Amino acid sequence: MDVLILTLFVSLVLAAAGVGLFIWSVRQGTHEHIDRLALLPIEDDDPTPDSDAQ
Amino acid sequence: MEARSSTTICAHCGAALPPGRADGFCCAGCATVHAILRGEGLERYYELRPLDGRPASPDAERDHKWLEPLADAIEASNGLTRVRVDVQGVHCAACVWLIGELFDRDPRGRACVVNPARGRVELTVERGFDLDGFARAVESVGYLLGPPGERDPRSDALTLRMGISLALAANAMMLSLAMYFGLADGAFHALARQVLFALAAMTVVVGGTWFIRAAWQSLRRGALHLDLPIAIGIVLAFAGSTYSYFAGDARGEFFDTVAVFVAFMLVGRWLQERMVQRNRDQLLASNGAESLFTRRLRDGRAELVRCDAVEAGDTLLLARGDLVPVDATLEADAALRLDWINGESEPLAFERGQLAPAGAFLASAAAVQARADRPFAESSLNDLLAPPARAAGAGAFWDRLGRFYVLGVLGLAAGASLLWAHDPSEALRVTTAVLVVTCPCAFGIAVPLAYELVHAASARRGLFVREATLMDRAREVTRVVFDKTGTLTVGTPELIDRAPIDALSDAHRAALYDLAARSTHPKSRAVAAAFDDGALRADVVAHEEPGRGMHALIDGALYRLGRPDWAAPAHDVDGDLVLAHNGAPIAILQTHEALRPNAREEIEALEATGVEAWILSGDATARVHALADRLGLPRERALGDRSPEDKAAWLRDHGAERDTLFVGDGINDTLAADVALVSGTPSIDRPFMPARCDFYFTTAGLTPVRELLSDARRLRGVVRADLALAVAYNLGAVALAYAGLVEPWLAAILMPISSVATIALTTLSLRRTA
Repeated sequence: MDVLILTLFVSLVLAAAGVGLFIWSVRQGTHEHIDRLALLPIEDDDPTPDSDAQ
Repeated sequence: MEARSSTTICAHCGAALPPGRADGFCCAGCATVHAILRGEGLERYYELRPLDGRPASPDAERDHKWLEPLADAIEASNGLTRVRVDVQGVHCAACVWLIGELFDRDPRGRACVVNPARGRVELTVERGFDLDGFARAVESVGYLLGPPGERDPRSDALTLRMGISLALAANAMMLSLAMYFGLADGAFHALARQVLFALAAMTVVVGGTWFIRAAWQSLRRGALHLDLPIAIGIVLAFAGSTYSYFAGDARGEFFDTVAVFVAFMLVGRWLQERMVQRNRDQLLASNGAESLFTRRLRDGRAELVRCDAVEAGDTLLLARGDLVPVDATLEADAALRLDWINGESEPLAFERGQLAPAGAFLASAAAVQARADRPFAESSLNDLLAPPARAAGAGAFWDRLGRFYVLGVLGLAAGASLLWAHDPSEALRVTTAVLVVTCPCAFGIAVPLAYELVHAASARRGLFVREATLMDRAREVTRVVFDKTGTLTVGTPELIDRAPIDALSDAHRAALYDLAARSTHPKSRAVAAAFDDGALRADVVAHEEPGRGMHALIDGALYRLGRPDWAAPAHDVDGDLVLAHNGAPIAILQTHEALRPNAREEIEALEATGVEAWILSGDATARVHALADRLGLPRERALGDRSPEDKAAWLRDHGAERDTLFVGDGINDTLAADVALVSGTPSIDRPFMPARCDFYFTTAGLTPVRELLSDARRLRGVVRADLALAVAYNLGAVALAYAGLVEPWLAAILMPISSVATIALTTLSLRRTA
């Protein structure tokens, strides 16, 4: 019985981790520019800007 | 690398070649962009891009005033500046690569992130970066840049809720499987029930509240939205299961089914919104008058102001391609294009002191000053740019269905309670079972899927849906009304017969090319395009007189190419364009507007399906009738000389809000687009019209418009079949529930089966369309 509870606990932790990663991914917007991600290996690292203009 | 070549597809975009194009490109835009890419050493684009057929429309003359504040911000910064702009036309990895390559050519550009789905580019640049040069380079290869628009934050929220609900539902199903396969008591069973309850509660909170809030908002507005039956199903099924949980009756707990139902409904909603949102994001935002800028002269300095800040008496400085924001008195001769306001396809000559109408574009090369006659608030443009007030009558079918569904489900649940009134504990379980098995899977997931498949198929053909209710309205269309210039025609003239050119001597022919190729007038460009082997002489100096034509002294002789009464004033010549040698006409040329490829065939095909085609134009009636003759339309269905208000009035008088699709491209069409039941536009390179239409299309021909109507009719058949299947399932499932036979395990099987059955029916029915 104890091992079942442990299994349940571990599976819920894994599910929570998966949900956490998913939320991070949506906030990053990675699911929206897969085309760009396909080219990431040939891109330079992004520099950090000092100011924004819109 | 050479562009992929084929005899049937465009070497640049991969679209099917229209009949008569022998150069391997579907349009002049693609040919231009191909030449630029080859000239710049960017042929790798053709290795990366898919062949999905989106012709390019390079435009080197767009107004870039909106870039000036951004450029100022870059210059004011001492370090790096991040600049966000919207981009239109990016659709694949090749586009992303191409924009990145163009960006990298300026060493002060540090990073360029292109997001094709959102239609956005984020640039990180150093001081001195040539933003205007970058914009022109990007637009020269067929993309459009614009100021960043606001994005609907609900889109990300829906994706998040759907993903989390799916994870919760999957875990709930895993636990309930253990129970269905024998876990019936003990400490782990109790723990599993608690976790199951918690997972279902979280699913309802995370996912169910999306529908509950939408249903509540629609009720407050007095409307009955489809979210209402979904929300009622979720709330009652969860409430009944919760009661059974606390009452200790495991047979009345349907937590796993509730969780899966919520997740499925969110998948359906996400599918429904994804394509429409994506199509919207890929067009530049249009913020009405707020996105229009002009230059005003104050104290001897030109300042950039929003058009709605223009006051009567202001002096405006207009450059080539600039919009005249208000009626303004010209302070110099100029040529103006009025196609945006009245469909008139040719630039017209205006003299100093004449009134330039609001909505005209300056076509002549030299900048001119003009004095504003009235403030922007009184400009006719202000009315044309006002937000559309479309009546929301499209969802009548779904409203009726939703109403019947809600009443039906509540009646069935009440019937179950009455039937089992003699046994209160069973009555609750049976009633909960009825509410669970009647959850509206068909229109929660299968119907959105059907719409998604049809929208995706349209997008592959080059037609992009902007309004989710378009297909519901399009199936009612029995009449299609086209604007003329830019819609049925491509807006540029073509030479009818090149025999007069062939009859010229070599010297005269060379002079004709020297004049035509140096002109900015569309008719002269049509003449230049008729030359396969034209070569410009470097020693020729040609002059253009706006609205009249070109003239040059070549080898001691005066050549003129232009209006007959100007080129050869001493001769009575009945021509469209005349080449004169020392005042004597030597070639009389006729042009007409070039039709969109397959326009005639598509109009015939529309008529064959019982849909009436009409032309409603602001251009002269004689020209509209001539076009009708070329298209094989009766002249009584070709109406010219119509102002924007006349067009809207005609449509209103003819019941267009019930049965008419209007297709137009200019700002003069916005009022008509607001009146018609459905509206569409081929013009995505100019603001306003796409933002007011239900769809836009990017193909050279009109085929997607006809296919839209046939898809809408086919979609109706599929939706009805889905609903019929759902009704049959519900009748069977409710009968089982009434008999007290629906246990949680059976509900957990029945609901996915009904969903999968309707999804399979939808997919198979629309396989040919997709």
